[in-house]
Amino acid sequence: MSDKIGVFVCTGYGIGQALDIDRLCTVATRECGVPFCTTVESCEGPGLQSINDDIRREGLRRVVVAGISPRRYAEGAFPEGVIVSAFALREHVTWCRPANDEDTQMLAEDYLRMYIARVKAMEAIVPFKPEEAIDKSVLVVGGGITGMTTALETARAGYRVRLVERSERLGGWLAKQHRSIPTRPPFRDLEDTGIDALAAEIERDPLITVYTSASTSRIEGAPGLFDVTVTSTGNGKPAGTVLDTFRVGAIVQATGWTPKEPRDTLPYGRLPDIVRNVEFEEMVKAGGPLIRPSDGREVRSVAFIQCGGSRDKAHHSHCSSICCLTSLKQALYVRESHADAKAFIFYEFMRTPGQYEDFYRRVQEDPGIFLTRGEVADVRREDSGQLVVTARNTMPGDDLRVRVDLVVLAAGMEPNSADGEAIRALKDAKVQAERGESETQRREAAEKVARLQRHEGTEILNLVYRQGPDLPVLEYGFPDSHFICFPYESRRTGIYPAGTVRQPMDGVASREDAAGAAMKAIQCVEMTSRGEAVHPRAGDRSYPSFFLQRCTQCKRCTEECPFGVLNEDEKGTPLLRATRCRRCGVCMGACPERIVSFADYSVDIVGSMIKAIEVPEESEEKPRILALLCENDAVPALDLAGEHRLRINPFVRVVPVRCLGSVNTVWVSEALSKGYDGVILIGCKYGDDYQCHFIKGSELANTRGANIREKLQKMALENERVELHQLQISEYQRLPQIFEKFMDVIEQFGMNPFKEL
Amino acid sequence: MTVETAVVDPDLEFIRLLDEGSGHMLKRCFQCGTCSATCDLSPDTSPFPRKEMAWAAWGMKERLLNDPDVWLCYQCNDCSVRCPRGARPGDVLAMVRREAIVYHAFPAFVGRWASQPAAIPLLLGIPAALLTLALLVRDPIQQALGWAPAVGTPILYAYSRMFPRWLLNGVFLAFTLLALGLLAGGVARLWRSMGRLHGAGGPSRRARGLVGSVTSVVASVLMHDRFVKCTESRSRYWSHLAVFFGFLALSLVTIWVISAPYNPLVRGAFIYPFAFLSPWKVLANLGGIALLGGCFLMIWDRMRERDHASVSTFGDWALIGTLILVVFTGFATEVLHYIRLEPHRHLAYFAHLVFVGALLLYLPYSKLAHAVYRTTALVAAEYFGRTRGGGRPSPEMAGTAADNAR
Amino acid sequence: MPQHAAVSRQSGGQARIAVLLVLLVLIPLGYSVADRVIVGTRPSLQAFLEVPDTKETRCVRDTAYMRYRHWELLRGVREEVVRYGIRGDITIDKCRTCHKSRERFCNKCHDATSLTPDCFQCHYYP
Repeated sequence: MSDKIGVFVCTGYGIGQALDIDRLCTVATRECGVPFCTTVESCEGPGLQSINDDIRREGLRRVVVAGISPRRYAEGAFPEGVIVSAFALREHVTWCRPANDEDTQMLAEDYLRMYIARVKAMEAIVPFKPEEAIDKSVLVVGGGITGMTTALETARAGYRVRLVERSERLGGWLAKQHRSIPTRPPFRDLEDTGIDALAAEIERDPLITVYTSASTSRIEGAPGLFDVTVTSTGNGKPAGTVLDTFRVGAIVQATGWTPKEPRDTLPYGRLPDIVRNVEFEEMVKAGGPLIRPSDGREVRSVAFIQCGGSRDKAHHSHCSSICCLTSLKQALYVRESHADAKAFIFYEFMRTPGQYEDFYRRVQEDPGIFLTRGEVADVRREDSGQLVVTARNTMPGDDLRVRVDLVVLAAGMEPNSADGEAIRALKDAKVQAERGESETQRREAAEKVARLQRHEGTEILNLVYRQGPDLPVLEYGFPDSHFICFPYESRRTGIYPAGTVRQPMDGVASREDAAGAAMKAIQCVEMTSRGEAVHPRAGDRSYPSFFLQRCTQCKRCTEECPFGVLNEDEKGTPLLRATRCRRCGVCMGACPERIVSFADYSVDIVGSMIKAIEVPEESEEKPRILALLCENDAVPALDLAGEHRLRINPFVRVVPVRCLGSVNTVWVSEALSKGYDGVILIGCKYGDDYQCHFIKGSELANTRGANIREKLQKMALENERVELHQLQISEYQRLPQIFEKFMDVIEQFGMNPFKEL
Repeated sequence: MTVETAVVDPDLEFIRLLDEGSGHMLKRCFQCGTCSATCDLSPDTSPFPRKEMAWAAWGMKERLLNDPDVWLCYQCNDCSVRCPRGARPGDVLAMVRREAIVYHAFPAFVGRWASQPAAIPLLLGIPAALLTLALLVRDPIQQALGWAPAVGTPILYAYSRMFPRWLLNGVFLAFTLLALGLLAGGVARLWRSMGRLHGAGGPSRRARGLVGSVTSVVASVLMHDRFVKCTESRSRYWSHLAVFFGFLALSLVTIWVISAPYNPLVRGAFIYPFAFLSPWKVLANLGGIALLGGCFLMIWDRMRERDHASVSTFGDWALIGTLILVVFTGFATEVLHYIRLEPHRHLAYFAHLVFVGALLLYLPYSKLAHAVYRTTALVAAEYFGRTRGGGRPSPEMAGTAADNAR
Repeated sequence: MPQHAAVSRQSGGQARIAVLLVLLVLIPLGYSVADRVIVGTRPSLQAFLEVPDTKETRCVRDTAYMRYRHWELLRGVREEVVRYGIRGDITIDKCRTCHKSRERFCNKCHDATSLTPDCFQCHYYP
């Protein structure tokens, strides 16, 4: 604490005209005892230069900059080694408040007190450095188009790659294809799949090691330090033989897809002349004339039934995105087989996104290909051996029947994923079913085992993580990721799903996806090697430290960490795998003993900020509200509100938090005992379509509400004094109303009686 | 409804045929219905050409060839211009009509011939041969029957030395009756299918009966009011109007001439060829000019590279060409007559007769059949109440109607 | 509704054109009817052509030949006389002996068929 503290108050951007700057500086120098306080005309460009000059000249070690939003500073804006605590005096005070107003002045002074308190409590960040060297190679699981492209892209960037493929050869589904849909303008002609060339290129690449007929039987560790065991799947060498063990820095899961079984309203499996598109592809690829599986007669007409295994609420409700294109392509196979061959395609919705429309048109132009919307009601076998397909509501205007030699069902895509959390739950339930304490407990566990039984033996990656051996999945079995904002991201740092395991897509999209995943993997190993967080707090060098002497082994942190960062030992003591950490602070919010802290963010730091403000006497009728705002959306929303000059209530004191999940309930009770009249927490949307950057943070804050209510009860305060809101950055206009409404609620209940104490 | 749906077996050959004649875009139709919406002639219930486009893309030959609606289309190509896929519904329907003519033609092989350019020599050879044959047997027959040239009769035909009236009337009446007889089957089928598909078995309550229907259709044909509804190609109104009234004028004059001996209005001398300023001659000359002008306007329209320009098939060119040749040889005969070039005017007249003969003889097989089929379809539509805003769909069409309503 | 008004205005124009053309086409018929009603029975061919003087009982050829081919005969005679100087007994003058009036005989048919033979450019035929 002997570091010299300096305060810089910016007077530009209208701040100097709106506030009594001298009084503000007096707060810093007289009240907080800061030895150095000065004003600057701006905190960008020359202003920032003068701040940095002063820091160096005065030898300041801790600095508060009251000016523009800290989000506006570029990385490395301030000198290395200086602890900086900047706050948005401009956006959060002068831009959203009338000038030269008593409440505005009080708001600015309180913020200055809070951030001086913060800078005093902060500690210098020492980046995490593991004892062993960070490995920068990448493991790619799956040797299909995505896996192969990921391997090549990564190797081209100069990183070593290990490629593990379950089957005997590389290529995946694309290698089983006769021809590929067009990928280049004019998008009219079928192309070579290009898989062989890709495989040859991988073969030649000295940076890529390929393991075929292999799987990962164990992956232990953390980003930069994954220890992988690769074992044989049984071709050649006996299954389970260890082929190799090695260390990698990041993992790309490109395990692809499996065709879905068609819906049982169609007699697939009962009639041999009804096949799935993957089987038809094999028939064509085998060469020779197209013949019927049942009687070997030549095929002259084929009916394709789209969504044969998907888009059925009861069966497989999502679209697999490539079946339409596949059927169009296969219809061309049929047409190529004979000049008078006919192909019928029955679809519900024809989906040929983007440039594939041109391919669709090309297929439409063929006189022997008949496309219609319609629901296929029935497929029956005639005595002649031919199949009659009946469709309803077709485009020619009514019900329609066609007689064909072969029916091809467009089977949907199922991701080759494993639900790591379900596998873990199954394992727990099994133990519980055997050793449960009561009869009821054992019965319930047995029911759970039955429900989860289908996950038995589905492991793919075999991670040694407390929360299960594979990536957690969400709906439809896709590994959890935010597929629009943050594709490839999963809930396990350094493990990136890519390609069709992540979302149904075609070969071209898979290649793009592979390149993206390769970039993420490289980013991961590079940033990890510098001790930085990867996503979404990219570049953050702080990391949580656990004061384990006081740990009670309650396992809350290990349970609640959304990223499986913490393994635990026999007794339940958390074992930090720091390179897995996203620095959200959920563990900090979870810990009842408050033993988790970051150098620049801890229970104490935030607590000291909360306690730093002056709470006016009840008679002054100036209530105080503590607003804990999520840094990801809510704080930028407040910045935006300021930029749009929206009027914000002056009694609100905002404290940014990394995530609502990092909010420790002690802050709420501290605030209320200090005399704040209410506490409002604003975070991201949670639920099935969550937008929380840390997956479960805002949801956890909500569930922890029970603890808070308990505390309120103890203090004999009303539940309504604490509110939780969800806000997107784009909803910044709502922010003033949220505060105003809360003020109305507080007014209803009156001032906090603890003010007197 | 438990109607057992028939199995559709697309006729690939038929699709190729339609596709070829309509600009190779037929299959692009994705059933948006813009064509039916934009068409001012299409009825509100199960409108054309949307359903016809689907049937065409699916090669439903029987259904299309028996579809009376194709004859309600005037190929103004408003639909072809607005089609977002460039599928040219107007031209597809034109091709369907051509195929329907061939399909209804009896004997079928003549129908097929009549739609092939390679058959031109044969097609013209037949009337030429028949006329030559008639000329060869002319004198023996006249002698045998004692039919000397009609001396002393009040009717004077300068040409009748070469082509006696009995010969011309006989040959051409035979041609005409044959043609109409051959057309009757197709006409009857067309009438029945209109009744079955759109009349729910009988005439509509809204309709005006057969006489009323014919009257209204004749008035509408004379007025060309359906052509006026075309917004894309107004010139077709003028060209067809010219050709139609030219044809009408020439037909009237022809009927006047051949019926002269039995015409109570003609008592005494009837001298043919007419004097140049005779009202009949004036009408015939004006008719010829109108027909020729209309034909040239049609050619110009078809040659211009414009969206609404129809895709032209052999059948289109054949009809326009024959009409031009009829008029041309007619005028040639007239001029050669005035300048008294003796063998030449007879040759020109012979050529003229060959072309007129071809026009009549191939009426059931050529595009000219539209005059009969379209008129029939229009009368039937009027009779069964299938007009804009009316008509009751039959069960067979209910699916389409429901589909359109959705 | 304005659209409908436009259509009906258009079809009004169409109706006028159609009526005009139909009337035009019917003019000759009207003329013939009027001719028949006003003039009454047309003269028969015998009345139409002047009956020749009966000094001769028959022409140089039979009637049918003369009616349809006299110009060929006369053209042949002209060729013989003008080119070869052969004068036969068929001359225009000889025609005139029976068919007295050009006006009432020759011109009757020539006018009716709009022919202007060049016989009379040289030969006098009152």
